[in-house]
Amino acid sequence: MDLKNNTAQQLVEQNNKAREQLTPENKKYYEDVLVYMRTFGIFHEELETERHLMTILQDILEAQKHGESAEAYFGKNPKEIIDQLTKQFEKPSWKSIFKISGLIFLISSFYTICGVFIAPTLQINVLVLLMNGILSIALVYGAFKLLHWSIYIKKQFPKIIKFLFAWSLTMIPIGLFVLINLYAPKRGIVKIDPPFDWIAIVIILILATVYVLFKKNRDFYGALVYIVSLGFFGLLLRIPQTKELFQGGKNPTFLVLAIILPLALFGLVNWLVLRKMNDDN
Amino acid sequence: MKETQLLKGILEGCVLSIIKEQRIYGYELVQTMRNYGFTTIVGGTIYPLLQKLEKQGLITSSELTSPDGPNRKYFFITTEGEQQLEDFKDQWSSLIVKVNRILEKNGE
Repeated sequence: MDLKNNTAQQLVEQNNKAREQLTPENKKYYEDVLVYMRTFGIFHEELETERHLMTILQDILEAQKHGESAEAYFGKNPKEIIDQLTKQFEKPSWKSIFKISGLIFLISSFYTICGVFIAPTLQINVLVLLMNGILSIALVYGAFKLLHWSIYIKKQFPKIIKFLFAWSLTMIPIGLFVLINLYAPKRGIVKIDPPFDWIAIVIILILATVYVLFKKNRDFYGALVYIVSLGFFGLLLRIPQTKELFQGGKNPTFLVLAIILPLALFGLVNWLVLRKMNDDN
Repeated sequence: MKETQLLKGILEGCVLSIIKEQRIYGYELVQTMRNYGFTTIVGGTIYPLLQKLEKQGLITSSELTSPDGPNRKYFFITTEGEQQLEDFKDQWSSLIVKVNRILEKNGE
């Protein structure tokens, strides 16, 4: 096994396995190091981060074998040490900045498109698509920065402050997405008329299913179930045989089901996948 | 030169000298330094230093199987590193001579 040829993904998997050998105290110490280092920048080369993390883990494991704690071996100020390491990291290339922003943008656009499956008419405001994508990139970037900054905060805040902080952190992004959808100028609307609307949904669902099954990536199962169930409701709304039953999507029961059920399935499948992954480890 | 910079330079010289003797990985290096009497050295002091030396091309690294356990990132000295070590030795000897001259004179 030659570690040098390992991809970042393989190193992450090896790290997940090897980390289990740490004592609870050392694990806490190391996992703080890990999250702090991984959240340093979303655009940075993953491989460089993962190589450092693996070296540190192996050395801490060896120290542990010789009866030395992670803190005694690595140092009392892990934050300063990691700051010194990350300061010397390669600057992210424009290529990687475009690649990662583009990926977030694509995922955001995909969810935006799937969201209109259950709207009465299949139409997309290109401006909304664009703004959702930019907001998503900003939010992911912000989430990384926030997590990075929060790892080594020693100060304890009262519960109510923590709750309000977490609450506004959840609500502000949701609020921003809602605002974009409500108030974005109605320009550049692309509309797909029947019967092409349900044909478009079927094509998107087939492509997504084939892609996920081909990739065999369990991380995507929740998302796939989410959009397939959204698509299912979207089809019920559009296929001539079932269309009348749902009064063109204005039936409140239908709307509530079409919004809640896919989300619930998304949560359930992700929970199952996570449990399965934990069992495998 | 600030005191910390001076210390860093000395540490770099020591690390280069140890790596020149034998290829070594992080944990081993920390233990070796401790055995030489640098008892307060921790991994956190060594990793950024190794990273810096590698970036400067003074050392290079390679993944090799270690006698016990998984593959390790071993460090080797480069020709540039050996040159740097020679420079350090010269500077260090001349520094010792100068410092001792002062200390001995004032201690009389």
